[in-house]
Amino acid sequence: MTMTISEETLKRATEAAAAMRAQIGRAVVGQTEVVDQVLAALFAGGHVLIEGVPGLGKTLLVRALARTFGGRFARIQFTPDLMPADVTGHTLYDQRSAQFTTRRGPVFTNLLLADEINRAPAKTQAALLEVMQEGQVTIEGTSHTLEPPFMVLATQNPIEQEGTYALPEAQLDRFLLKVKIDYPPESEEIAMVKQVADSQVGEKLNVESVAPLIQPEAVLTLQRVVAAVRVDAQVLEYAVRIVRATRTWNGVASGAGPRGGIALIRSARAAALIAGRDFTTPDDVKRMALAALRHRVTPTPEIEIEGHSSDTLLKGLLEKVPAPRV
Amino acid sequence: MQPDRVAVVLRPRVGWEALDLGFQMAREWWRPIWAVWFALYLPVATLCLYAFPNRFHAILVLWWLKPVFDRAVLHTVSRAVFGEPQGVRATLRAVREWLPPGIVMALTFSRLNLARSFVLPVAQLERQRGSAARKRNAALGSRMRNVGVWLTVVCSNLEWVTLFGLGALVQMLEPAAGDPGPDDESPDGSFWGHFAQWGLKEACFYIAAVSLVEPFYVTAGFALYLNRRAILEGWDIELALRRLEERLRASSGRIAAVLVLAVAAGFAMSGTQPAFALDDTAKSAHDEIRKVLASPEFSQHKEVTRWYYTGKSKEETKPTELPAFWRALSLLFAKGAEVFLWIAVVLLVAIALYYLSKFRPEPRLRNAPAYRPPDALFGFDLAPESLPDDVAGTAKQLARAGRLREALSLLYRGALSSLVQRHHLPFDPGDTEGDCTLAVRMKLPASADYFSRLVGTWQAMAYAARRPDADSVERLCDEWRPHFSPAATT
Repeated sequence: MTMTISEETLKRATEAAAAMRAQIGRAVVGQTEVVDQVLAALFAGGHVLIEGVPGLGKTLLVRALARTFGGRFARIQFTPDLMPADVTGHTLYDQRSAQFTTRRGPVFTNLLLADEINRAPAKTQAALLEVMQEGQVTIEGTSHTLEPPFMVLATQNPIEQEGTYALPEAQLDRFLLKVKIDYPPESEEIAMVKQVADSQVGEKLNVESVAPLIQPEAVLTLQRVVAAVRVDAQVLEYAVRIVRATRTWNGVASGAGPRGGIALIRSARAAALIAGRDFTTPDDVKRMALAALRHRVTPTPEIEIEGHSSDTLLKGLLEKVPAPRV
Repeated sequence: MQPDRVAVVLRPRVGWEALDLGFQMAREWWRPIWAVWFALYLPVATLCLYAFPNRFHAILVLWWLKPVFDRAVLHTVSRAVFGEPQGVRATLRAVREWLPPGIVMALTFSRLNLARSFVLPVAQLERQRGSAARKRNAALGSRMRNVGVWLTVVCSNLEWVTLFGLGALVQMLEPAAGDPGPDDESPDGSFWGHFAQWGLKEACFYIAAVSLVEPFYVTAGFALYLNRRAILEGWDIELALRRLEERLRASSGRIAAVLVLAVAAGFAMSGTQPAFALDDTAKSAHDEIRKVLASPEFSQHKEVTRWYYTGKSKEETKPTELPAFWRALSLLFAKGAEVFLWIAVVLLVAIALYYLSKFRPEPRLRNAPAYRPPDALFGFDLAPESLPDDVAGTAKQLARAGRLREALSLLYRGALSSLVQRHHLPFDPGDTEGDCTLAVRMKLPASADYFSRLVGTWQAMAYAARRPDADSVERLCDEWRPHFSPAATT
């Protein structure tokens, strides 16, 4: 690696990450793995697709995350009649000033929650995914660069398939991680219900307790630090080995492309920083492999009929792909 | 009734076929039937329309009086069937004959009888009343009532279809009729409101529809009734016998004389008294008949429907003897098949035993050699022979010599070897350092902290090229023994 991280920088970065994690934990009870993965995506400068049934705190997580770094937060509820201009923005003719004015859409923000992204038709999805990829919006021929940090957290619901437009594989590939939120364990759920229901009117999500810790610019610094986290050749080979194994693995219809390997290494770096290290280990890779690859691997129909998902395949694969030994 | 005078072919029919016969009858005698119908129905209808300013009420009354007109139709068609076709005048003159029997019931309790046209002949032609009528209806309706009910359903639907069809036709052809205006809405918007608004036109449509359908309905019900009686009373057999009798009567008197002579001779030879019949009075014959009828054979009547085999019996399908050559060939095949089957059974049993022995763990475990840990794992040589006797001591020497990497590698390898060989921790090829630490934490919690420190130092050196300080490596060497040396007790 060309850039090395000083002790001091590492310490501060680790502390900042730990503090953000702790602050999010004040609003989001439990789900530590999900929080870690979302933080990792933020530090790696990627976007996240969150899948989970309604009512598991997806929105709360995003709002809490936005609050920790004082970033702007916007939310789009995707519906079948949502148009690309509703996402990116549009120009209007102002009769008083006799000029065209540009109205910026909700994408001009730091954190964008695209709720139920699979409810909007393909053209709207494509508009957002283009913004995610390019980091800029073109309205009436004029390009507007989005102010970094920019992160999209899209959610989708795994149970309702009627009236939805499934994201194509190529577009799924744009997401760094696909995070699955599952029902919390009993103890966490008790704590959560207590926290929300106690001395509070209504069930409004309360992120007041989350203290803003850093500025959006600091997030950019953190992202630069993550980019400098050392990846040993062995670890890199391990990641590539995993990604390559998905292409030939029994039960996989189509495996992950090289972008999967890149995503895996990027997220493993961020995970290493969150763990307080300035170097990645095979453990980081293995820990992030499910989230980084599950949306890039398509199981064969037979495997799906048997009730297995790409997660099952990847878990089996991770057990068999030899970890590096020095 | 006299079956020999019936103008239709009587034979046992299924209900639906009987309905067809009824429709055919209505078409055959359409003149007298519709003449009587219109002669009665049209005046009454006109009267009703005149009497009730609300046309719907008039239609309701006409509907209610349907059984009255039905009777006239039935009278006409029954006379026609039994070979006495009557004109309108004769029918109207005979009103005392066809109207009174059971008319009160027909217009009150029985008005909503669903098999109305089927049971009408019982009241009108047989003149049965009260419980006798009920019994008769039950006997006749035991298998055919459902057909009568369906007839009612179909005919009432047909009436409505005709009514609406006529309405729609006129609506289409009427030049003045355009889009339904607000006047077409019922005053209160309800279902009945629409009916209350019926005008003369709609009433005429109703009268036309009923006039078209009702005579068919009555004749079909009557045909169903006739068919049921023909089945129950064996009219077709009776007719056949009568025809036979007529043919005999028509043949030459000589045959009759011969027959009489033969019968007389038969009586004479049997030794009975020739005056046999003369001795018996009518009374004794009556007693005899009653006795016979009281016997169990006649006391019950039960109709049973069941399937029975009408194909060839077994005797008929008995195989013919084969020629010797074919017999030998078939025997050869049979023997061959038997041998083949036995071989298959033996093979199946052998396969079953093989799999049973393969998947039954216990006997194998008993005979199995003791767990033999792998000598190499993760590319490391983990065999105890490949390691120095004193791992910690050797590592410390290496550390002191500045060869920290070798020292740490030896410690790590020694620890893994100990875990695999002595503690039998199963490691997969995909297990990372983190997984190993987790396994140690589960199995050897006392050594977990040390092991994770060792792994952490090792990782920092391996993946971050970070050279650990010699002191910490030496400390790791010192602490190694209690956890992983062969002498250590855990």
